[in-house]
Amino acid sequence: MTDTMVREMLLDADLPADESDELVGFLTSLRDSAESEQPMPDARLAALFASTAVDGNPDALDEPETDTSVVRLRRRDGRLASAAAALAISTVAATGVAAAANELPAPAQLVVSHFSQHFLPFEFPAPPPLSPSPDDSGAGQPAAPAGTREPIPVQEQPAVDPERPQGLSQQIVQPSVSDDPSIASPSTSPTGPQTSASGTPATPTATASGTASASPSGSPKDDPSGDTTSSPSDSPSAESPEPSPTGTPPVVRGGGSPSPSTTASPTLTTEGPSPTSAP
Amino acid sequence: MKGVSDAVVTAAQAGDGDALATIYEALAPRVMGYLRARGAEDPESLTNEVFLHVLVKLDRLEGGAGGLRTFVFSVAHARVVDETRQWARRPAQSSYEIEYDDRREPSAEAEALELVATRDTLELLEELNQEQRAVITLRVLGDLSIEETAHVVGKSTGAVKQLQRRGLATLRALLERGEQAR
Repeated sequence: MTDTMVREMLLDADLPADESDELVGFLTSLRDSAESEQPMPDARLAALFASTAVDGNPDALDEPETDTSVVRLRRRDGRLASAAAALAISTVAATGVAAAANELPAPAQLVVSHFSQHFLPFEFPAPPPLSPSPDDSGAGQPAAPAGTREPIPVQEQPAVDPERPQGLSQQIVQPSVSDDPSIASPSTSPTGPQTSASGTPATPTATASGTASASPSGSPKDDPSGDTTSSPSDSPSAESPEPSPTGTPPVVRGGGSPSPSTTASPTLTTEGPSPTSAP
Repeated sequence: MKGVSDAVVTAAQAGDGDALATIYEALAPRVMGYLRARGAEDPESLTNEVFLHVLVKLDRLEGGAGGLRTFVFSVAHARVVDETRQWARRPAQSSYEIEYDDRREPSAEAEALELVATRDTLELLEELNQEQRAVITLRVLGDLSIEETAHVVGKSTGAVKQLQRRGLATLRALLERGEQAR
C-alpha cells in the first residue's frame, strides 16, 4: 500500500488528506510493522514446500498426510466396532440356544432362567435341583423338558409302613396280637409302656402281664443263648415269640416279671429280631 | 506486496516450489499482521494454517495475483471469525496477574490518550469495533480494493465504505486527542 492508496482511502472517507497527516502516518506505520516480521513455516508447511519442490506435482498438495491417517484410523475403528458387535451377537445367541436346551451349567442356567422370567417375554427352563448325595432319590429325576415350566416331578416318599418298626415308640405302639385274650393285659395302653428316649430305664407299667420290649443285647445279664427275658419255666403260659415276617420285634408277654435287663436299656430296643425271638 | 504477480501464481499452480516460497514470503507477513491486528491468540500458528489451506487449493484458484490475495485474506478472515466465536462460546481463562490489570484507569478517554501517547498501533486499533477493524486492516495490510474487501467480509461495497469512513474518523479523533494530550 502506497501513500497514494492511503490518501485514496481518506478521500473515500471524506477526510481531507492534508489535514490528516497523523492518520496517514498511523496507517503507514501499521503496514510497515506488518512487513517487519516474517513468520516461520511450521513442519507441515515446510514438508508441503519440500514435496512440491521435489515432485513438481500440484496434485501432491491435494490432501495432507494427516487427513489420510485420520481416514485410516476411522476405518480401523469402524472395523473393530463391527467385529465387536458381531462377537456380542453371536455370544448372546449361543447362550440363548444353550439355555433353551437346558445345557448350561446349573448356576448359569439359573441366572438365565431368572432373567428370562423377569425381563423376557419367554422363559428358559430352570436347572434341575442339585442333589446332596449321589444316591438321593432326586438325583435320578429326569430334567424338565426344554421350554416348559412344568414343575419337576418329585418322587414321593413312601408312606410309613405300620408293619415296619420305626423305633421304640412305634414298636411299642404296635398292638400285640395274642391268641389268648386272657394273656393280654387290659392295662396295656395302646402306646405301651412309656419309655424315655433319653435312655432312662422306664418302669414298666405292667409287671406281670404288661408288655415290655425285649432287649436284644447290651445287657450284662444277657444270656448268651439269647434267652434273656424269661425262661419257659418262669412263664409257662408265656407265648414264645415268633419272628415277625416284617421284622417286628417280638413282644414279651406272659405273667413272668420281666427281668431287669428287659427294661435296662430301652435305647437298644430297636429294629431287628430280638435274640429271644430266635427259634 | 512485492514479488507476487500473475506469472508467479501460475508457476505456483504448476508446482513450482520457488513460486510457492515467493508467495509465502510476500503474503505471510501481511497475513500475520492482519491476524494480530484482529486479536488472534497465536497469529503465527494461524498463519501457517491459512497457507496450508491455501496451497492445497492453489491449483483451482482463478484471478491471478488479485484472486490469490483475496483468497488468502478470505481464509484468514474466516479463521479469525471462527476463533472469535470459539472464544464467545468458551472464554479463555487465565490466572489473575496484577501487572496486567489495566482497570486502574476507569476513564476510556484517558486510556485512549495514553494509548496514543505510546503510539501503540495495535492497541489503538482495538478502539474500533470488529467490522471497522477488519475493513481498515484488510485495505491497509491486504492491499484490497473496496470490492475485494466487500467480498472478504461478505458485505456490500456501500457498507464497507461506511465502515471504512467511520473507522478512519475514529482513528483520526483518537490521534488528534493524543496530539493534544502531549
